[in-house]
Parts: sequence; C-alpha cells; structure tokens
Amino acid sequence: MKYLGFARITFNTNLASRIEPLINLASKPVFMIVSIFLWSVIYGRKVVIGGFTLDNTINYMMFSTIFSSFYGTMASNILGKRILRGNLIVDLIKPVDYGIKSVFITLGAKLYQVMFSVIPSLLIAFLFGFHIYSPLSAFLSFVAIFLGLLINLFLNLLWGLLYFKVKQFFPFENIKQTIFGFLVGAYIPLNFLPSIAQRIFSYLPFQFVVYVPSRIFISTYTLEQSLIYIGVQALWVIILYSLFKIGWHRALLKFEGVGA
Amino acid sequence: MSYLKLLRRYMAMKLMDYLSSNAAAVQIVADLINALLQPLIYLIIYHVSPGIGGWSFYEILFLNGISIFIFGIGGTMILSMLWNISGAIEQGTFDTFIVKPVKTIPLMILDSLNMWWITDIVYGLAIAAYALVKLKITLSILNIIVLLFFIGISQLFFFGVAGIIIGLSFKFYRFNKVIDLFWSVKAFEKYPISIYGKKMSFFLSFIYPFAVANYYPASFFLGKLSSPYLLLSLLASSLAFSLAGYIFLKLGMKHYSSAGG
Repeated sequence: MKYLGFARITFNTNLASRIEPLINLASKPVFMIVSIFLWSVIYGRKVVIGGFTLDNTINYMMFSTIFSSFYGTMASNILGKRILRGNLIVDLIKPVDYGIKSVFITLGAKLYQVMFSVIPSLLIAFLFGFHIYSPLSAFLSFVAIFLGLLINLFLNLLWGLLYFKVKQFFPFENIKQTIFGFLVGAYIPLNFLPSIAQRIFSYLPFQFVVYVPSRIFISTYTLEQSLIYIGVQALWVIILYSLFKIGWHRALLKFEGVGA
Repeated sequence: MSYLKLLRRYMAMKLMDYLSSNAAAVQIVADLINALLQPLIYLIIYHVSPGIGGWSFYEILFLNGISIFIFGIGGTMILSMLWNISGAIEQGTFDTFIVKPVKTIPLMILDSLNMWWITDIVYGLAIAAYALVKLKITLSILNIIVLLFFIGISQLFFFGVAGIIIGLSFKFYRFNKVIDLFWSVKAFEKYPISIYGKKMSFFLSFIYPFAVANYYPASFFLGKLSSPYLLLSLLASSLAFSLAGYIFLKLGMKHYSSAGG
C-alpha cells in the first residue's frame, strides 16, 4: 500500500533525533508532581468533586500527561507551513489523498511516540502511584485514545485550512493550542465545569480526544457507556474527515501555490 | 559607543520590527486568550473546591498576574537569548557576535531583545492590578521597592538559565531542545510553591530559584512573607545561578567552531 511509505519514512526520520524524546520524557514527572500536589491540596478533606475521587482526578491527569505526546499532532503546523511557503503544490501533483497521507504520517510518528515516550512515561507514572483500574477499561481507553488521535488530527487539519485565508502562522497556532488544550480536557477534567458548559461541550468533538478516553480509563463509565462513546468517536472521525475533504476541495479552488 | 546608546538603538529597531509586523495584531489576541486561560482554570477550581493552599481566588489571580508580568519582562530582556543565540550556534552564524567591536555577552543580550513579549507585560500588570483592587490592597513605596527587587533578581535567574543552556549548546549537538524542558518547569509557577512540600519548595527557591519570578514577589506583596533574611537568601541564590550561567557561557564560547550543529 502506497501510504505505508509515509508512515515508515516518518518513523525513520523521528528515529534520527535522540534528544527530543529524552527531553519530552524528562518533562513528564514535572507535570505529574504538579498534578499530585495540586489536586491533593484542592481536595483537602473533600471526598468527591464533580463525581471524581482524588484518586480518579490524579489518574485522569496522569493519563492525559502520559498520552499528551500520543494524541498531540503537528498536522495544522505542517499543512499551514506548506500552504504559506507555497510548497503544498508538491503534494498536489502526487496521486495521494492529503487527509489519508496525514493519517499515515501521524501513525509513523505515533509508533515512535509509543516506543520512546508513552511506554517510558507509563513506567515513570507507575512510580508516582498511577494504576490500572481494570484490564478491560485500560484496553478500551487505548482504543478510545487512538480514535481521539484521529479526531484531533482532523480537527487540526480543519484548522490548517485557515492558512489558505490568513498569513499569520504563529499567532493562529498559539490560539489553536490554547483553545484546543482547554476544550479537549487536558488542563482540567471537563466534569468540573458548570453543567451548562458541559452540555455545550458534549455536542462538540473535542471532549473525545482526551476527556472521554481518560474517563474510560479510570472506569467512571459503565461498559455500555464506554462502547457507545467509542462508537460516537468513530462517527466523529468520519464526520470530521468528510468536513476536511469538503473544505480542502473548496480551498484548493482558490489556491495559487505562490505562498505568503 | 556606550551600551546605553546601543540599548536605545536596539530597542528602537526591535520595536519598529514589532510594529511593522502584520502578525502583531493577531499575536495580541493570541496572548490575551493565553493570559485568560489560567484565570479561567482558577475560576473552575474555586467553583468546585474551597481553594488552593489557603490562597483566596484574588490572591492566586495576583500571583498569576505577577508571574505573567515578570516573565514578560524576562522574555523582552533576557529569555529570548535562548532561541536567538542557540539558533545562531546551530546555524553557524554566531561569528557575527564575535567580530563586532563590543563585548560578546552584552551584545548577545542586546541583539536578543524581543518586543513580542510586551503584551505579556501589559496583560500581567492588568491581571495583577485587577486582583489588587479586588483585594483592596493599596500600593505603598515599600511594595514597589520589593517588586522592583524581585524583577531584578528574576532577570538574574533568567540570565542563569539562558547562560547554562546556551553554554551547553556550544558543546552538544542540538542542545537547544532543552529549552522545552525549561518551559515545562513553568507548570510550577501557576500555583503557590508552598503546596509542593518543603523539599520541592527549597529546590525551587534556592537550588533552581524559579520561584523568585512568581511566588516570592506575590507573597511579599500580599504580606504573606516579610523576612529580610529570606530576601537576602533569594538574592544570593539568584546571583549564584546567574554566575553559573556566566561561567557556562564563557566556557561554551571557547568551543565555538563556526561549523553549526
């Protein structure tokens, strides 16, 4: 299959860098320590906040930290730079679908992240008290975080289409990073938000990137709920891919290939 | 040419560069969204719990404002060296700093002035001022002197960080990636270091004196701390850290080969 080559090349390119995974790994305990101390202080004598025990919240935050390099993607960054530099034209002359190509590039990068970031981070997290609630919920959460990655990828590609219109790359990437980080539930569990905000967020795809997989992991959903959410995730992947395809074709009609 | 004159010229040049950029307006919005994120997280935390380590909502908002403000000054004056100089080392263009008839380290600082952080200074001040009004705390001469003191020693700390990372970038291939690690430690600055326990507080105060840029200025300002001995100890640790940075820079420059990497 022609797309597998993109995954292989990305994996091999990532293999060449040695210091990035080490630095990425070294930063994980920082976030874990902050989470443990912060939430322990916040809970104080309280047993449950927003339906979560202290143990649930700390494990939620750790799960989010461990997998941050897995569900994170550079797709909008790569697409934006290629549009603004004008070299997207090289992609267009190749007989490949840019969305599917991005999926395989991401898979290559994520295979590397699993080997050099996720697994070592898991080992570090166990030292800080991270634990698996049940083998089944762990398995389902891995499926959910994989689908979360695809949702995040297509959300990023949709954001990347913005660069067909605007020329200011870095500020828009900063805005995306802040907004997406909050909406996916990476900074704070979304069930701590007021109920009206939770209801609005439930109609958006963002919560399926981190919040839902983390909740499946800490077993705060029943098996039936977990399976339904995984189904909804698959549906969001299809919807977002279709939206990207429509947006892509429309954007290309006006693309001049000159760059900015 | 005196350094003051050079500073004026560089600042004018960098300001023109900033104001003429098309991206500046969007970056102002991006920085605003970024500055409002942490207060939003505090709001959520204080909505579901009694608070964080005995700090009221407006006290912790003040801590956040002071932190953004001091990091804004640091980014404008010192921290941008991290990207500017380590980038020049990687590309093999550091020679431009050596051949000019000015001392290398001051030139590195001047060339790295970065006006893109000005919005952080403004937003940080605005958040801190809003929190102070809500706390009904009025400014006193002593408060301002303490704040100026911490602005000064936090720049010493930032210089230490920049010096160590840049110094090692001369020796090790692509060492500038370590900047990301420095940035991840920023996760500690969002909350009072007293919540992290005694050992971690000691580490962030005297070994890696990160807290001089956020926790201590806020605590002294709010009257939570007042010991002059503590002030002197923090000054000593920041001085020692900046000296370490200076030594790393000096030793590192001896390894520069113009080859890049």
